[in-house]
Amino acid sequence: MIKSIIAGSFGLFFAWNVWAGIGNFLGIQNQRLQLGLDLTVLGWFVILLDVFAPILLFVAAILVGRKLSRWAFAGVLLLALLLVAVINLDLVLGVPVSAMFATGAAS
Amino acid sequence: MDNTDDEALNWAGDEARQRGGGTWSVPKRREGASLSPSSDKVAVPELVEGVKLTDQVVSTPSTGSGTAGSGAASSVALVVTGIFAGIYLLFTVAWLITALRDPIQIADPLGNAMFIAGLWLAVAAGPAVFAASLMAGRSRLWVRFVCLFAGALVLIPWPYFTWAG
Repeated sequence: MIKSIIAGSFGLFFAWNVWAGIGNFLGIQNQRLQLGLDLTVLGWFVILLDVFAPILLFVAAILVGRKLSRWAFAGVLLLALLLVAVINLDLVLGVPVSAMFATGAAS
Repeated sequence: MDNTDDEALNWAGDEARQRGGGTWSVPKRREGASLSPSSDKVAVPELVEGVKLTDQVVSTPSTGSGTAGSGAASSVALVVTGIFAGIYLLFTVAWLITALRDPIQIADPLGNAMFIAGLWLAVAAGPAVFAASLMAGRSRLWVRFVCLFAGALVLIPWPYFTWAG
């Protein structure tokens, strides 16, 4: 019971990251269509991973922490949330926009 | 310290540990364990394990109670752990610089607050992964290094390299 409350509380933050990832996905699609450009393989990878990384890490944290004590369970979820923050920033800030759009000559 | 040259070869607190004043000193635990006979049986395996762990984590040539081979191996482990600690420190500083430059102003206040929170969570990730690796590899040393290596790969501060650097 308490563990599900812990999981739910942390889950809100993971869900926020998924939501923000969907926002980024739609924003990039919007830009892409307005510019009339396709995305590079890296670009697709980035915007899809931005959505799915929080989900995957949340599930992984639940599986790893399931049999641990409450505190360890919360610790594993916190660690996963920190990693989500790192990965999200890697994708949002760490990938140059020019590498995401298949601009052809106009790079 | 009778000889100042030896001072450079010692870690701070070595002497206290040799005298049994350290936190994981053997006599202390025995005193605690002998309070009740029932807990004695439980405490003894912990005691033995604790001593072994201590030798792995903090190896000092003078206090090493294990064999010479395990002492050398634990020295290597200590050095490698220290190298990883340096890498994690550098990465954390890079994330800190990224966070302090606060790159994006998002119009939505909640979104902005969450983004800034994410920046600081990324700063905290380095120390957290390091600590978690040490905890995960408590009983098996190779687990510690696999965790540290994988964590270092994840924690590479790409925003620092491509944007904030």
